[in-house]
Amino acid sequence: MSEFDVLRFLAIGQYLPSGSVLHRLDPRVKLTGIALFALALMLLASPTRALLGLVLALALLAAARVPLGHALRGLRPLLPLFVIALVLQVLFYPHREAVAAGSLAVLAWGPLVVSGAGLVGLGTMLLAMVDVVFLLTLLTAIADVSDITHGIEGLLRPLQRLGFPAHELSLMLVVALRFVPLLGQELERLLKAQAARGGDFGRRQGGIVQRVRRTLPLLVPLFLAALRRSEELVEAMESRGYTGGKGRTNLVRLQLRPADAVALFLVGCAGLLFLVVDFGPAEESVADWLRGLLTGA
Amino acid sequence: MSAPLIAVRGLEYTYRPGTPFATAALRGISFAVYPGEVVGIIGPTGSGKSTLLQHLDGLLRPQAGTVRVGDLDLADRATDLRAVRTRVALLFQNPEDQLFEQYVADDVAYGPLQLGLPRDEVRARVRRAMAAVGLPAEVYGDRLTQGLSGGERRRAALAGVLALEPQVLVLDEPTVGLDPRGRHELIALLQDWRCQADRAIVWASHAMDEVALLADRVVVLDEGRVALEGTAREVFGRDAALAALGLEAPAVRQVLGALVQAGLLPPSDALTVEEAVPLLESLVGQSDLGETAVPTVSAS
Repeated sequence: MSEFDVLRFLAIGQYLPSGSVLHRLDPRVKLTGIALFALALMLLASPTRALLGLVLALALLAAARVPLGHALRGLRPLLPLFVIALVLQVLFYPHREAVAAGSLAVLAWGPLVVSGAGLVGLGTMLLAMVDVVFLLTLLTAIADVSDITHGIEGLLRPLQRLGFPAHELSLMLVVALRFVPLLGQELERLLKAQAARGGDFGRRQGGIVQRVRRTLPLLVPLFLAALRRSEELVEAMESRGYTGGKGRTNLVRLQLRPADAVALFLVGCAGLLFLVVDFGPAEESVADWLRGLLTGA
Repeated sequence: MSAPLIAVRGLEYTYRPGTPFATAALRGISFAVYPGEVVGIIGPTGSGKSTLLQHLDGLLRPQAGTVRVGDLDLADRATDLRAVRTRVALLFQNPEDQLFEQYVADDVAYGPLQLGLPRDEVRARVRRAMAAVGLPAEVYGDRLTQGLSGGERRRAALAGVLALEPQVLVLDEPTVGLDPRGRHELIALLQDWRCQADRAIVWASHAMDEVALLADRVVVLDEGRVALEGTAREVFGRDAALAALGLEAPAVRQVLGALVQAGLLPPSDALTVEEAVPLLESLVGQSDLGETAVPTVSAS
């Protein structure tokens, strides 16, 4: 295991070309579908919706043939966040009031009270986070860099007529996305080169100035490398005839196909399901089931 | 033969193990580096040269097998890497990219300062290291690093590593991107350096001519394994084996090989231009050469 392998845990960001039906959708559909899904999860969070979100996300990951292990590995960077969220919820949620209002007292240990409602709130939040991570993993697994940028440019194109710099923005996005792994590799090389000279980047002691000074052997060359690459990129683009976005056409023309229409229809259905699942008998039964779990545990 | 400075046995290493992106870079490498010698490591791209070099100073740890630097075992997590890096110093490809200080002397001083040496000692080492690379501290110490030429920056980076005063210098393609004069200068200073004390150099390169010139022993890697090993003469004499691995022989061997094939010269193990000259002179003396078909040596 190398301590220098910086790109290791970026399960988000790995394109997995498995040729599934999801891969072949129009990139605009991929982007809007997943964006709406993620928005819905974050804005309309509730226990049932978070669970439904999980089921849908897993189903989509399976449809895209993303290995489950890969998706789960993308959750690892979140673990510290989960722990922090747990601690915060235990400390700052109005547990006593909730218990007084009828919620179950899951833990009553001296001054510390943890209510069922608090836990459910925490669980919903965590589950929603997990769902969003899965969605991001899905998005990058089914859409590679050029897909995403075509999609964004395609979606923003109508705004171009209003003077919105859609082309320049998507160009910035392409270049940034392309440079991130390149600079990541550059950083890894620098880490190794400076470590080979005795540089120690693991130490946490020393004042803030000292710690910043310690990163200079990495930051300065990295900046220089980024600037150097940008200059080379600009020269390369200009010598191939790039003169800005005006009047520029694409080799790949985006066209919506029947599969896309089906996908959009399914997204619509899922959306409706999302809205409905919290109103009416569905909520009752799921809530009962959850309550049963907690009391039984 | 005295004890090896570095001993590698059965070294294995895989990148990103357990993921869909796993690549086995080293599959059981064994070799040793003895005091006073230059070991050349050659092999096609992807054969594991860089991975191997990074194991020699502890940047990468063996997943199986052992790497011992003197009495320090690099497979042991508790080994102090700082101690290892005072004995084995690694210079990466295009090392001028790692210069970060504004002034040359400051950058050369980075290594010794990190080792926690007292200021006087650091100053002395910087002076010695810069002298060793032909950039005397009095003249170049206060120059801006970005103001030096490419070759000078590379030598400054080398000075930064020599200032650690290692026993073994490990170099990854040190001459790549230099013009011929820059290459000659660099090779000359490395030869000077290694002649002092019981130092050794490990040199990974694609430039066969340089390896043929400088290396005492050569290790040929192919797909993570040692394909050939022996003295430079032995290894470069195996033209067919090298060609099968996709490696081009040094220019001298190619020319001599073509002449041997045409039946004009007996096979020899001449490796350098100096050794080839008498053989070619013997040819020039013959008056009955006439029109002999000599197979052409393709330009590299």
